Amino acid sequence: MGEKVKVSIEQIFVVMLLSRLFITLTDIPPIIGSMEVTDYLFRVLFFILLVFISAIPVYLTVKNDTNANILDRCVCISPIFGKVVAFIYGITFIYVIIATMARFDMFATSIIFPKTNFTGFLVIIILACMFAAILGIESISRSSTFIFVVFLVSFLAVVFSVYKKVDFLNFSPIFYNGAGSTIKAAFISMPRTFELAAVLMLMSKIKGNIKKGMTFWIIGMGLFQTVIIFLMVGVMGDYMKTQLIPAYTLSVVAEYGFLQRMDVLLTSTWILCVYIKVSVMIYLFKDCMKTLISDKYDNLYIIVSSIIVSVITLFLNPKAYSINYLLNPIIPLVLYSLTVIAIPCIVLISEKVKDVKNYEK
Amino acid sequence: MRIKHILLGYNKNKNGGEWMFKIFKKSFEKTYAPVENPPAPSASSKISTCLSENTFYIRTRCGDCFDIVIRNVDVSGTNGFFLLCDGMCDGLKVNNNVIEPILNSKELPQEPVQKFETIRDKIVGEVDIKELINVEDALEHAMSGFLVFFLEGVEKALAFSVQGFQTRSITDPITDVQSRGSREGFVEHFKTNITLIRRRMRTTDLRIEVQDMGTTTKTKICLCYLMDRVDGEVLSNVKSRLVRSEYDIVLASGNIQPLLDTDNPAIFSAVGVTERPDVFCAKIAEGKIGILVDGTPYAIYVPHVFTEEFQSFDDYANRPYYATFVRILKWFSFIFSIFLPGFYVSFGTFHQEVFPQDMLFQILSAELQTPFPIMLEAIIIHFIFEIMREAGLRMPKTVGPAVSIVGALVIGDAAVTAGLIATPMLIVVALTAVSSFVVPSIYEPVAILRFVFIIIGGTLGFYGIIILIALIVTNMCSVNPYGVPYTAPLLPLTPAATRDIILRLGWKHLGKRRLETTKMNN
Repeated sequence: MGEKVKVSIEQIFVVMLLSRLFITLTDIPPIIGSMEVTDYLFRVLFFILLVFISAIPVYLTVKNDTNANILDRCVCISPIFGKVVAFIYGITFIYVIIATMARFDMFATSIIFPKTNFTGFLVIIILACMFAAILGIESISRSSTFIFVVFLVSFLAVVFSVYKKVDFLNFSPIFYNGAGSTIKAAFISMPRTFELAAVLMLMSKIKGNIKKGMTFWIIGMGLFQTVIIFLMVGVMGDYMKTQLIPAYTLSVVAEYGFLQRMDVLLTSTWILCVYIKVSVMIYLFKDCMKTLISDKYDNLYIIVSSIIVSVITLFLNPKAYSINYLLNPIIPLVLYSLTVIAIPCIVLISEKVKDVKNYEK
Repeated sequence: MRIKHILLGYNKNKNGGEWMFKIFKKSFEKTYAPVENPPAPSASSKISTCLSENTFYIRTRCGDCFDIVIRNVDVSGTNGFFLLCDGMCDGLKVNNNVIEPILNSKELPQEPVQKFETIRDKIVGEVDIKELINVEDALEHAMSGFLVFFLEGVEKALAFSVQGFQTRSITDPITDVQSRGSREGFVEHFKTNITLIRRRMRTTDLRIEVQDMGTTTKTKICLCYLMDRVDGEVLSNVKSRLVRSEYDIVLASGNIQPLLDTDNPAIFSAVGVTERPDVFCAKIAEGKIGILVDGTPYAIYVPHVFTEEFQSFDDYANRPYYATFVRILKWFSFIFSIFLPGFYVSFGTFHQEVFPQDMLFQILSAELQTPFPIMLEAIIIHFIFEIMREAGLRMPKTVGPAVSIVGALVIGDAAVTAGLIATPMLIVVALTAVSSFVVPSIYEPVAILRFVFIIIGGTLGFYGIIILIALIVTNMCSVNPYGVPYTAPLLPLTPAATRDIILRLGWKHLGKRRLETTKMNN
């Protein structure tokens, strides 16, 4: 059952927003899909719609009962089923961490440290996230509020400096090559929204209206993406498709009077998004292991998961696998379908059947 | 010849010399040898009706202590004695209020117990009189400045409060300097400090509980709180932490601070310290628990939150707009004192594009002339500053000007002229140093973090600094010793409390709702 720790829904909203934003900021056009530039904006619309639809099982699960998280409810159905689900969620969170680190690796080796060996910095980030996970979800969520303020300041700084450079001639006609690629791109983006699985794991620790918080989060995520893509398209136009990370190019272009090249200040806040995301995922992995193995060794699970992630991230060829992770939509689609759609549906159906049987008795 | 032979009058008769040495050795051992197996204090060391037994116990426990005085008296035909600690009592009070009235009283009953009760109730003019049944208690009271009276045939003793030891007078607080606050600061004697608090809080809700800490020192600790505002759980938490301590010696409030601080490793302390009674009373009025320690003028209070480091008593005496300005100044000073050297080192080493062009040329031309990398330069100059600061704190006042000259001329001017340190670095260090004294209460963690940021900035650049900031904030957010987050009321945000954090709103707004720290949780 849920621990004594209680986190407010606003803080969870911020955690989820920050962790999803990193994907948006480091999206590479070939990964998103080959569309005309204006269609990227409509991709966001379809993406939000798809997330809302796929989040229906999560909404219903949260509506039923928030005193226990998804794992506890699976254990109530059957202990073995609970362990299997814990295993699936554990694998999912490990995958998310590895994918995030691979994406960060690609971002950093191209942008932050193009000429130097980046290995040490990756290890440091993983260690920092491990430390944060040990301190607990309360600390992570409180610090995420501070990080969100810092991120917002840098985001607004970019917005206010580049909005004058927006040229509406850079926008292409809507659905010039049809809507098919736009919808396909939305389907590719949707399964990377593992924050919904995180909500299912954390719901016993959240106080407040979770459904309302999730709605605000999805809408807020959409708004952020819309603003970022609008600026990217408006400022760069088709040139955006030639950039590895267009959002970074936008921050390079931003200037404030005599202060130019503030990109290091702006992009450093993106690292904080990685920090929050990986910390939360390590923490949730620990919860999965507590259900799967034993609830005695909190910190041991965190340390073990950090070591596993470090080994995979460091010793496999980062560039090859990072591109594989990023371009291959199958793995996230399977894991997303399981953790966000299938398992909550099974839990809801089982609980409903149980209720009916109890009522008949 | 050995010295002992010279001293003892050696003669060729070895036996005679050895005999004299043995006498000397015996005499030495008798006077100075440690008492083997001194009688341990026993719970059942009750006062005996036989005076000689009490006297023997006291002499055995205290040995031949110079300042433990036993004065035998005859009280209308009954033997008695006074026990006191020389130097701890007020001689006039002892003579005029206690000894003279007892010895000069003529109409005392003959029966010892009745005599004892008459002395207690009718003869002695002191207000504070305690009855003791235990010799250990009697000794403890004597060492606290009480005059203890024993009477033959009575199993009790009377302790008269006649303390008169020398204490420091009330002066300006040294560390907590305010321009419009009172000029009174706490002193070492806890009773004087209690008086300072009671004068400011004349309410029956003020509770002052005294207990002893330290098995050897038995230092008086006073818990002060307002009954109608304190959180019961916090109070019991504090009391249980103090009771659990196994300290042998408590000589300062800093000794018990770790007991009350967070159990997790934390950079900043979750216990507040103040030397001012007005600040102490203000904290108690917010529902906090204040602790006075006998022998130190620094009082502590819990729970303490980070934003309180930037509040001062003057803020509430000045106009709101000026108080707000000063608060913003303090926050900026804090940011400068921690981050400025690290930022400068990271930008200078990895991210030179951040500097505007003209500034970059100036910095570059200055740094190119120095033999050290920027990180090493920063570490060296900050280390020298810390040495000078520590020297300034400990040195005798007579050599103060000499150290100032060495610091200013030799290190500041000569080092730059010789090309060892660049001028921009010196400006950064100077600004950092001055900024760190704007909020002196958190100087210790700031000083250490500064070095850490310099090293991280010089090795990992600005991205490393950002990760470290995130780690520090997360660590601060994990501090929660009394159910009150250390980062409250900013994280988690308590909107009502933000009227007194960075802004200091006027009294119309501040007075609307009572602000209690113990209610600022998730």
